[in-house]
Amino acid sequence: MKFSADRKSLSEVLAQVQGICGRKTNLAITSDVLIKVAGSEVIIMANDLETVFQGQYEAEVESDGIISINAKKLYEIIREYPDSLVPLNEIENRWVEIGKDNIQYHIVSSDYDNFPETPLIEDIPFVEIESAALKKMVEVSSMIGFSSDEKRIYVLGALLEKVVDDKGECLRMVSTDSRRLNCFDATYEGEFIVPDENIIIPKKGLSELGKFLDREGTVKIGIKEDHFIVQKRNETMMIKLLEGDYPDYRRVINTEQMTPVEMDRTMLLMVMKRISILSSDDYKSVMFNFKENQLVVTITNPEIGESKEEINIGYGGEAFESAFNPRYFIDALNAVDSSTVVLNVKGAKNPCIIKGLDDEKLVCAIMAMSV
Amino acid sequence: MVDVRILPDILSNKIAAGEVVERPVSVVKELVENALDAGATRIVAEIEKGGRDLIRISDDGSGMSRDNALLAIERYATSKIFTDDDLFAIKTFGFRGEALPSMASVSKFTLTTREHDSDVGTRIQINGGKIVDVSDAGAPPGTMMEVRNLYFNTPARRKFLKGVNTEMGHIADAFSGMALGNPHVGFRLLHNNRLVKAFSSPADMKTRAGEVFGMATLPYLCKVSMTQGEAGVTGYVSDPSLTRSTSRNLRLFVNNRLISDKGIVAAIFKGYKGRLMKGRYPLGILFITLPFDQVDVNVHPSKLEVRFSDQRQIFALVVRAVNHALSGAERSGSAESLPLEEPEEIEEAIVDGLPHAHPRPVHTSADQRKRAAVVDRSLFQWGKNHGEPAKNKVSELESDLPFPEIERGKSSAPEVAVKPEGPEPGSGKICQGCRPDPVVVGQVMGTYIVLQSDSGMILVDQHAAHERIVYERLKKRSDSYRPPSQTLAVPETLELTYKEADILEQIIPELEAVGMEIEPFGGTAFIVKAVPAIIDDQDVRPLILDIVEKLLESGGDAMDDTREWLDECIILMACHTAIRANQVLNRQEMETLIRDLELCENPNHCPHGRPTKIQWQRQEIEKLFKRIV
Repeated sequence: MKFSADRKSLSEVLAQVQGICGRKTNLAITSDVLIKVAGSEVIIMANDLETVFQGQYEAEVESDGIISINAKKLYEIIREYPDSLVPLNEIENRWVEIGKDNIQYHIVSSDYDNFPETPLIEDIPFVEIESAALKKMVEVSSMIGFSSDEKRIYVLGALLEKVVDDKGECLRMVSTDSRRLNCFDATYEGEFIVPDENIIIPKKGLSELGKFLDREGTVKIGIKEDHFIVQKRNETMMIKLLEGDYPDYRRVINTEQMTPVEMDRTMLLMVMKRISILSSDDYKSVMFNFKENQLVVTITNPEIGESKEEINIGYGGEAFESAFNPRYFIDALNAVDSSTVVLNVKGAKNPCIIKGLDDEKLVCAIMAMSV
Repeated sequence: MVDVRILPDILSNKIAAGEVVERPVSVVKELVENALDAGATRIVAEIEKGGRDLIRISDDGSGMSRDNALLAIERYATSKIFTDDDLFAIKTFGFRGEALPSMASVSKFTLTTREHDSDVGTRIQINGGKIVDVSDAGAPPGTMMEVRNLYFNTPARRKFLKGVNTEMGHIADAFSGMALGNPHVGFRLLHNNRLVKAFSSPADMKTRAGEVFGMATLPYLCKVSMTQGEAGVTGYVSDPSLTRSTSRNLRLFVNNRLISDKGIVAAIFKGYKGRLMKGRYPLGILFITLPFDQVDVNVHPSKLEVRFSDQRQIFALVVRAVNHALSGAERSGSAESLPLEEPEEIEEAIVDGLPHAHPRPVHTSADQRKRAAVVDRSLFQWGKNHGEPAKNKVSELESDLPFPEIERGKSSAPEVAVKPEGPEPGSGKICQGCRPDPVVVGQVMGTYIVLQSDSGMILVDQHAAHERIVYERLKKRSDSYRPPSQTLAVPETLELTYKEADILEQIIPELEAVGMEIEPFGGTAFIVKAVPAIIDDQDVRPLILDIVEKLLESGGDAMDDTREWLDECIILMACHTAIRANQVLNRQEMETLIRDLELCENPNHCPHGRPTKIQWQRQEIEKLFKRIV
């Protein structure tokens, strides 16, 4: 195998797969990228058995071949290489020579036969979706994280659903950690065929997908057996789905019996940022006191002190007091695009459901705390 | 069809022997308990070949008449209970009337007994359950039981006996246990004619504890004493610095009966919480006394287990008693640590170190008395041991030794001797505040703080110490308010077994008090609607199952168990916030750290149970340098 490729584009691709290859593992081969050279094309693959990346690029090919080489070291070498064209050459015994003349590396590569198999992408009924919308959907979902010892499937993964209502069809992604829940809708074109089982996409893969997606253009998405597949031009990403039940999230985001309160997004965000200064790991709750046309937000941390802010709002419902974690408000308010947000509330202990004004795409439900 | 028949006595006794006489140690236990029930003041046990060849127990108890002796070897014959009511209020060790006939059926058995006012004794010989000979015999007053060739007629049983040393180990263990429980009785144990254990009589509980655990352990034993209603717990537990790798040295007595009970052991551990390293066990003897009708001893053939009518109450009492004993001891120990001296004085103390060296040891003993006085005071507060402080006073006055420091650990020097020596004002008085404070000398390896106290040198692990300080601060905070709870978007459902469901149902209110909201969901299912906010990023399912399981196993307190989980989070938080090893501290930081540490409730251990400080007495250092031998 011998070829030369453009340093900048090769280094960009390698940067993108670092997340997949950089995971701690005892299966060393998953830290490698597979480079397959045939004709005038180079195919680069990364696979950690859960998330798979595959891309095809043009190159000056002298001879065909396959190598499996450590992704991190290859990326670092190519990133720092001074010329615009990088030559790669497999010499003997799986030694790979990178560079030429006065700059040369000899890097050990692994047996490419051990590289995990890539799922076949054939006959997949793809639908088309705006890349920016999918990116936002993925970002909103992976915003709700999980701890390293988490085992609940519905916390480890986000649900993808087809929603059909009077406004038409759309794709919906739901993500939760039981303390809050985000739900994002996006329109698409084509016939989305839903499998019988739940589509639960691991959040680990979603954060890789977030880096993969651009802010413009469209991508194709589809489901093939147990993989979620996203295709953009010459590159493809495949994420292995999780198996399990997903709880009934609709109950949580149902705002029918709730009172809507409109607020300026930036103003509320600033209030939350200020109030959360006094929160700490064991004092993370902020009191929300809803009164007629007024919201009083207070926090008391015996170790630091207390703080209080009063906001005039259009609230005519019954007065009540409820506690919330301000960090979740900050996350939700940052995700909403509209300049005015609607808080749906209903008495103590009930969740607060945040939406943008006249924007039903994103719904953020924040569960109450009680003190 | 095979006919149904009533078994002949000999066979039924052999069957009973399977339970009662499980191995040689069971024989020793039954016979010694009989001797104790007979009011013996001296008991001698002679064993040969680990009990295979001979077990002979002689006592100076009341003895039996010939008629009684003959009856005693009949099954279900006993002098210890007569009516139904007696069975539920058993005061004696034995009561079932099974032991003697069972033993007699599997050995060559000789009973020799004489009542104190009788001129002649009786000897009964039984061979494999058959009476061979009954005759008059000369004998000292009391009873002597001889069990020879145990299991000679049940070869299968004999085959299952372990080696001589193993069986003897069990015997010695049980024997020591009974000796601990009955300090007023003298015990001697001989193996193959060699004296193995001897416990003098009469002794008090502490002396006896010393005889069993080793005299060196005496200074480390903390007195436990607490009553609640009709139940009481007394005894001694070892200082957390003295531990063993097995729980064998934890002896439990319920109404003076040696028993084993996982629940009580768990309660003792809970009392030690935060003071023990994982896998280490304290030493101790605990006597639980409660009205005879509140404990059922008739649940185990060899009466090794008992059942309490109110397990939770006993559990809670033991936890509190042990905890109180240990923190009492620690508090008195930490009298050495009041606010630090001003830096100027520190310099002076170091400069003056040599000239002061001489009077110091005398001063030490005064401090130790002070410490002892503090211990006594806390005991006095609990209103239990009025006798003891007085006794100590007497011994103080009596032992006017010229070199009191030799008697370390005991309070010996009279107060007057100290007064002129004390460099600080007010020294010699029995009060806090007169003890010179430890002086920060410096830091080594960026990790350990070196202190000089009046009696030696102390090394403090700065991370462990700070961890303890942060932990107690966080804990105090979390104890003072109900922890906020986080409502769950996805309530967790729990499917339990009937037993577990029953327990969980009972503890729902207790769990709610710590922020965990659980509702029954029909049948044995439950849903968790909210969790304490401090652990809201954890899966609650294993947490709750763990709590329920713990309760199933040991009884105890649900709220406590949940708090323990919350505690672990606090410990983790403390660990992350605390200063690390390899961090250079300046003098002011070190002094503040030491001062804060001494204000802690349990300054001697970090929340994981590791020690925060190690102390070397002046004497030990001098020994190392061969200044003294």
